Amino acid sequence: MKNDKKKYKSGFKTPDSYFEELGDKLLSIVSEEKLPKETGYKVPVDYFETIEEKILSKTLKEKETKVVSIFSQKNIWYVSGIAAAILLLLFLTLNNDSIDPNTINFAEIETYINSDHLDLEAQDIAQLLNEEDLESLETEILSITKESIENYLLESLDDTSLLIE
Amino acid sequence: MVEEQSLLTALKSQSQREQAFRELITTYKERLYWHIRKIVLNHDDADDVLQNTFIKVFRNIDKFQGDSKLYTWMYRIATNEAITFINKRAKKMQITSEEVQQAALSNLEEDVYFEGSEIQLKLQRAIATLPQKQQLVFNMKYFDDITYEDLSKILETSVGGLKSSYHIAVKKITAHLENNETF
Repeated sequence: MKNDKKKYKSGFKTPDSYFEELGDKLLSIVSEEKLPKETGYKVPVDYFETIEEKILSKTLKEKETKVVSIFSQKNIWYVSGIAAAILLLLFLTLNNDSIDPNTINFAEIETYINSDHLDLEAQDIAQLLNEEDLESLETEILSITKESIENYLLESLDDTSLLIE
Repeated sequence: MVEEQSLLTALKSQSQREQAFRELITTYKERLYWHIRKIVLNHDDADDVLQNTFIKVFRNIDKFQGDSKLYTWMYRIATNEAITFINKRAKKMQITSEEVQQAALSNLEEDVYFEGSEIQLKLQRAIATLPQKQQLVFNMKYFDDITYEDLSKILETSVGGLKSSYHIAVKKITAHLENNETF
């Protein structure tokens, strides 16, 4: 009697192409076993013991440093306008790919902007401002002290050697 | 899950925030470091990306809704940070991100923080031949043993898609190593 010809059906069934894919799956498991289990990468001595303080000093310092605002109440409206335009652009772009905008968090938006996906030119932003706005922005910028600029650069620059000069 | 919930509550409270953040770093620093390291390959770059990842977590923790696990959210930030890092370097050097990775790979033999054997080096070269998404899936599944369900949340891909991606990756890596007579 042949094994593959059963008299009665059990009622069980398998997902589509289960047996076709089984061979590939098993082969990949077998070949996986031949691969090394470690990457070979290592870290400097005490790296993991010191990294916490490094990160904490950056994040907590950030909290303690007094932030000098370059925007007055009025200018916040302009910036909010630009931010709204960016969000609208993001919404329209992402909506085309059927992504629910409510599921996007701020970290992702920041990553998106940092990745240079947003091709906004300074001119596009400038078009949103009239002469009066530009004048008041100029007054605000002139009122920024040298010390605030230095603090900002120290906080934001990756390569602080530029500041030694 | 309860532990994660209480850690999250502490992270959002002003008085317990510092202690909770310290605990968060202690718990996840190594896992996230090795995840990032396998993407950027070099220790100094991995160190930069790891710090940026935790800084971003710290700045955005109030916006974390808790609709996914804290650890999958952090893995997602770390993955995005590492990829953004490579893309920025590629743009700066006016080369492709694949070329950035190839350059990092060619420096591995001289890297004092790489002590892999010949076969481990060949495995890293084989992984680099895969498309970026397959590299991520292979590294996270093979070395970190992350479940497909968690991977699906980190990479925002269906479990089925991830499974086939992983099997294709293993197949390609094996073929690459066989062609280079490693086995």
